[in-house]
Order: sequence, then C-alpha cells, then structure tokens
Amino acid sequence: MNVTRREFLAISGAVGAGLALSSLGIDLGPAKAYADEVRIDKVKSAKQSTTICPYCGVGCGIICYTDTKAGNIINTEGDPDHPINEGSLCAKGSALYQISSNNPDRLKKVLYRAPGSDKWEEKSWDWALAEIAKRVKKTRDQYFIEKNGKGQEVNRVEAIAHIGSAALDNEECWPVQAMMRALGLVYVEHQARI
Amino acid sequence: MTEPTTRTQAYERIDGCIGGMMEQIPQLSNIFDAFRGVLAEGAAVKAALAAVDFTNLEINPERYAQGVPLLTKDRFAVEGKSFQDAAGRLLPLMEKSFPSIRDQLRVVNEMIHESSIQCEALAMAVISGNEEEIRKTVGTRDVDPGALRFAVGLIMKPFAENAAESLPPLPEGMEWHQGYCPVCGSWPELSVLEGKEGRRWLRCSFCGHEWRFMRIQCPFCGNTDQDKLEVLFQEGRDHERAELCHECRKYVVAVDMRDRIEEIPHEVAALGMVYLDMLVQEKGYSPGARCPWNVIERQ
Repeated sequence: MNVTRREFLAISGAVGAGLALSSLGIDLGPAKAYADEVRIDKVKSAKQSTTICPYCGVGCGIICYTDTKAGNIINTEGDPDHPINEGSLCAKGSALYQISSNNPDRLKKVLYRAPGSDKWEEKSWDWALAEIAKRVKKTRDQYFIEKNGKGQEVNRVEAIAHIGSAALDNEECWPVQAMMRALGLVYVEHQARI
Repeated sequence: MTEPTTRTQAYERIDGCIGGMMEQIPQLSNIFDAFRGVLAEGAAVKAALAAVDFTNLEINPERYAQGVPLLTKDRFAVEGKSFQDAAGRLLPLMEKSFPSIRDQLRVVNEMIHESSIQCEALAMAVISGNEEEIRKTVGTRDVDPGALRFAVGLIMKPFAENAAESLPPLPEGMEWHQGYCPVCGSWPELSVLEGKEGRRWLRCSFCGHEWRFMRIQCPFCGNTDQDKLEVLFQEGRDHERAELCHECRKYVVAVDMRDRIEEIPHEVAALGMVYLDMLVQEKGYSPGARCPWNVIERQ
C-alpha cells in the first residue's frame, strides 16, 4: 500500500507558525544587524561529499566538507550512514584531513638527507627517482642470490626490503608488490600489517 | 540526559538555557526575551501532564514501513479543561511578549474559555490544519486565523510532546526512512548531529519526537544529489548551521552537539539559530517546517 498525497496531507498538517516574526511586535533591528554582520564577514557554506577512505582495504565511508567559494576541503569525518564503519574511523582515517592541500606541514617537494648529515636538502623529483633507481640497481646487483645453499634456483634479493605506505590503496599495492617481486625481493610488507 | 521531573525544574532548564544563549549572542536578546517565558512555561505545563494512555494503540508494521506515521492527528486531541488551564498560563505571557497581536490574543483567550467543547474543537481544527473549521470557529470575531494558529499551536505543543513521549517502545526491526515524523507526520524543525559518530537526528516541529535520518539527504524532498545540498554556517560558530536543498529550496537548521560542553535542549536549539533563518530566507529558501519564530517576514 502506498500513501496517497491526500492521505499524506491528512496526517501531516503541521502546526506551523501562523504569523511572521516581524509581525509580533518584537524589535528585530539588532538581530537583523547581527545577521548582516555575519553575512558580510563570517558566513561560509560547504558542500558535503561522500568518499571512501584511501588507506586500507576496509573501505570506510567518509564525509568531506568542501568550502563552496574557495573550493578547498575544510573538514573530513566518518560517515555515520556508511554500512562499513557507521561513522567510526581509525587514527589514519581520522587524520585524512592532513593529506588535503590545506595542511601547511604537508611536504610538496623532495627533501634529502645524505648519510651522516644532519641537514635536509631540497631536491628535484628527477634527481630523487634517478637516485633511487641507481641505488636499487647497485644493491640488487651486489647482493642478488641466484641459488641457495642446496643449489636450488631462488633468484632473490635479501638486501632490500619494501614497506607499503598506508596511503596506498588496494589497486596501487598490487603493481607495487608485483614490481618488488620482479626485482627478487622477499621482504615485502605493508604498513597495515604492522 | 535525565528528564526534568518537576514543573520548576522544567521551567528553569529552558529559562536558564535561553539565558545562556542570550549571553552568547546578545544581539538576539529581543527574540530570546519574547519566547523565553512562553517556552519555559510550556515546558512546565508539559512536566505536569500525566502520560497519555496508548495501551489500545495498534501498531501496523506494514503501514509504518510504507511511511504511515503511528498516530493520526485525532490521537492528539486534548481534554478541554486541561487545554484551558494551559492557555490560562501561556496566553498572558504571549500577550506580554507579542505586543502587536495582544488584542487578538485576548480574543483567543476569550474563545478558549467560552466553552471547553469549543476549545477542544478549536485545538483539533488547528492541529489538523482545517482552515474551514478555523474560519467557522473564528466567526465574526476580530482575530486573524494566523494569530489563532500561532497561539493555539504554542499551547498545544506541551500536549503533543507529552503524547509522543507516552508512546510505548516500538517492536524491534521497525525502521523509518522518511523525512517527516514517524509519530505524527509533521516536518522537522531541527536537525541534530550527535554521538561520537555524528549521527543525524531530526526533531519534529509538532510533537518533538526525534528520529534517525541520513546525513546527506533533504528531509523535505528526499534529494540525495550532493551537488544540490549545501550547509551554511557562521565562521566561529560552525556547530550551528542551516542545511539547504537547492532542489526544493527548503532548509532546516541544525546543531552539532559533538564536542559541546554546555547543554543545548533540543526544544529551544532552533530558536538560537534565528540569525541563520534570516540569512537563508534572504537567499530565497523557506523553512521546511514553520515554527513560531522561523518565518521572519510575511511570505
């Protein structure tokens, strides 16, 4: 049985105010002045968007608030209507706001600290990627194990370990671990297991 | 939260809360002052009412699941003498607070005290929105039907809230997904975010019942398009906000109770956000449920 419009109206005639506030004889001047002040200086509006936490495979629901004028994220919180997490978030999910562009402490350039140094140097991405590739190749070449003590073929590298970041999602984790296996790594781990 | 048990406690709870709101936003003092006594006294009236007997209430889970509220408006019928007593307490306060309609309120007071049968019929005509019956009851008296609805609505509120609170608990598994009240079918006047997880509750503008509702959905038209929903708030007071729907151009004021130290009784929370009503109505939105203070200018 569906509720007809007529039936609905019959049961929902709300007792509303019969009069406007302005017609009750209350001096609304100060209140209107306050509303004007808020409108000029302090009013903000935001859009709410639902999204999924980018970290582990649980897939918790999150609500993002985006400032409709500035276009930046101003808040993130657990989505209480999401069936997975019902509003709860772990420490990483709760801190999701920190990976938004608003975080002044978020690193946007490569910082390098040379072995033994106590100073960070700013480097380019090209330099960093080339340097990582060079060192991985050098270490792999130096420590590559073709056969174990029993003479069995193993083709592995025990001198390099890889740990997956909590910021990697499932789809990113797969090619990362595939690449590490291709290099011969056996110590492949993920932050979520630690 | 422990419910107040005596008239005095109920009165003081609301009175004290509105006093606190006044300290926070003194610019709204005139509005707070006007409603302070009426709302506090209304709470006192409610505290003295006996629970309504719903032992013979038949709950139909199928109808409920399809969006039919539990009670029809006739279930909120009030016994004439009780209504007259409440009117005797509330109308003098309204006369003092709302000078522009003082004379009309006096006429309403006379109508209510003329006969208890007429008074019962009047209350029922107002709560069921029967305009013809209201006009017939007013007759040739010098009362604007709007003023009558305004006064009778305020007098009815303690009775309606008492009735909703008297309902027995619902059988397990009965869920409500509508934007209107599962008890009486009226629209919500307030949205409340509560608990660590920020669940959204809507508060009925008539009977005060609260029910769970989706965070990102318009209660009035059911719109879930995130691009057509918006929240508006004041920087520095972001626990108070207006939730707007661009689809139906309606809104509901909302309070985020998470991390609040002071108690904000839900009965008066919407009153404290009347400045948001002003801002939003200037933009052409209208409140999804009309309450005595949230329609700023005649529409």
